[in-house]
Amino acid sequence: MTIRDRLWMTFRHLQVSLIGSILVILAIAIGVALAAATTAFIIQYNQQSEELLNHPIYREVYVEALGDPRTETELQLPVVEMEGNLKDAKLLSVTDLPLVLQSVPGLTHAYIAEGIKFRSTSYLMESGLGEAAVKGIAAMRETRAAAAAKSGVDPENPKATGEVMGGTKGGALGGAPGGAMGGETGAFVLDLKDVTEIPVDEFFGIFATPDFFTAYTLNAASGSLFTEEDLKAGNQVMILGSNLAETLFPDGNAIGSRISVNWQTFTILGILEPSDIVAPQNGYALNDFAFAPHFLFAGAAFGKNIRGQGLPTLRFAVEDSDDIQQAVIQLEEFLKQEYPNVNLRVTAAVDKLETERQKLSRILIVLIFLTAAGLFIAAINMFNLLLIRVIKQTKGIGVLRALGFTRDNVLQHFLFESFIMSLAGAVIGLAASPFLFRFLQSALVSGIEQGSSTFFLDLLLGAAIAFVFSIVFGLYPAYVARQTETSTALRAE
Amino acid sequence: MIELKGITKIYDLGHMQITALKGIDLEISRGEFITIMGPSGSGKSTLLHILGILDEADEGSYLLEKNDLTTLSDKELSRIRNQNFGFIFQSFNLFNEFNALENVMFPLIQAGIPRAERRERAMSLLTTVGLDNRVGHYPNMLSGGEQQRVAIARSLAMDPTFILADEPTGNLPSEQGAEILAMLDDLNKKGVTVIMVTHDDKLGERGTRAVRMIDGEIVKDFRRD
Repeated sequence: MTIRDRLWMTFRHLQVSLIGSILVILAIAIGVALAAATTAFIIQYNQQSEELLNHPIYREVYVEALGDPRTETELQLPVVEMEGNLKDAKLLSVTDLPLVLQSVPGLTHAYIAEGIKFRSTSYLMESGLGEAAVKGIAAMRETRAAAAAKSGVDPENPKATGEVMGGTKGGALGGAPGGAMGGETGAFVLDLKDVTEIPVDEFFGIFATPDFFTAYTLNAASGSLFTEEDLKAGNQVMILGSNLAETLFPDGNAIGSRISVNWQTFTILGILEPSDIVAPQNGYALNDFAFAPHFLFAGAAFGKNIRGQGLPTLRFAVEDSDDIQQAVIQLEEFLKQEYPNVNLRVTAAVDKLETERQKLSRILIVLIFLTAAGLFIAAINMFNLLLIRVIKQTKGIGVLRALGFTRDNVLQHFLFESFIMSLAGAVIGLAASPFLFRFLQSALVSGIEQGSSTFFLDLLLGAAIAFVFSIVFGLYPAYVARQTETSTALRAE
Repeated sequence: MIELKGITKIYDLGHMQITALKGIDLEISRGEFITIMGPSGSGKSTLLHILGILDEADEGSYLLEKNDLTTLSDKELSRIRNQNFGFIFQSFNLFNEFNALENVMFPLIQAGIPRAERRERAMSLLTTVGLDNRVGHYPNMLSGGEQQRVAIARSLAMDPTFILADEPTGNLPSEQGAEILAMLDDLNKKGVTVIMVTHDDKLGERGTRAVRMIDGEIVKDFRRD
């Protein structure tokens, strides 16, 4: 008998109990979709989390102050030593970064990386946020002038370019004083001369120190990265991620251009090579970020920083992910010795990943159980339908035998029916599984990418498991049909 | 030629055993029209099933054209059944999900006849039984007599040596039954060996030979010349 004849017979038989057949196919489809998506998700998650272990983000160790830094002085950490009511607080300084590197041999990088949202200055002005900002900046300028008077540094001209470093973290404006300000102290005028108008209202940024680039293996594709000198001088320079550079400067003239964001102007110094690193805080690719020198160091250059609050996190990194736990212990010991009264917490970023993995693995176990249960129910349904069909077709089996069909032909016929139903279910389930994968992705964890080279293989693996499972449950009814005695079958009513 | 020797068939019902056939000896020559008669439970249908290799005897031997069938595999027996025997049943036993033409094609599918050829042959057979205008009709759209004619066409699909008919008119009104019997007569005249089981003594008057069975034994074997 040809495959075509077999298909013809099978489809006719399936039509006889159409609704039952459709329900079984749908049940198998759900089981296959679940199995395929879950398998792909688990494999991809494991692969990617293994890869993540060697990812720069997870080679990071960070030191945080516990509690609310705005109310507890000891938690003003780490920040440049400050005047006034914080004078007696025991604080980590940014100068501790190299000191820590020297004292903790396991660590290879030390840096600050602080997220910020850059908003175009013209957007801020149009949004009616300009007035408040100008007032704030004027007030800041007065404070800074007073600090400069004590340290002997001219706040308006701390460096050769004539630009002023400063800034506050986040906030409604996300902005900072400084930029190209003209005129006398207290009379703030924003000079937007030679500034390129950018085509977006806002973008993500990171205030960092140069070692951040080394730790994250970020290199300049064109132009250059900022240096220790830029940092200390408070130069208003900016490095753009590859995507952001294309967005802001579609014509490609980024290097050397000046842009105005958060009431400051920045000169574009370089563009990074494309990177696959995703910022763990918000899931955006670093290619979409801008990077500027961290202002705390410029403040240090003035002697005292104009900011009134601390920076919550110092970051360190190791070269080899295997050294992390050792580095954490060494860092804890160092900090305990240096700052015995400060409530600090040292965390390896990888621990967070591990905690997430453990949490997720519990969810995945439940998911696997549900998948198995779904598949089992689908298979039982098919088993039931086929068995009932065999019983209902007992006489038909007898007639087939009378017409010359062998026992094996009968077995193959019923097995083919379960095969076709499983195949139809598998195809539908497989088609639906990428959607289910995306659902799992959004519901459980971000950052698990679909579409890597193994994705469809993983889906196929899941589908194959479900498919074989369904076929196995079709075997027994087919066997019952095969064993039916012809003369008994012909006498059946 | 068929030769049955000492055929015994016992049904094991668990709590009891029923001997359906008790050492049957029977020789059937080509071209005969045999009616096997007997009351219900006399073993006539069991004998027909054994003759058509639908059932196996517990004892005895079965020679078809001098070949012993008792040693053959299921595959070989199925092939012999497909090529040598055509079956007609009391309740027609057509496949309801297939139309008349498709029902007739079934034995041809199993024999591996190409699609075009089996279609042509099935059409020709349905024309022979007077159903050329009903080929696309499904069994539930046909009368009992028409269904039985489809069954006859199907039984002839492989041009068999033997037609085995189990109460072929049992579910039909007398007029339609007469038509079917006339067809069987006609087939026999064309050289097909017809073996018909019936409980109706009147039907036993047809054909060339009448076999009467009671309690699993042949009590009378009468040839008409």
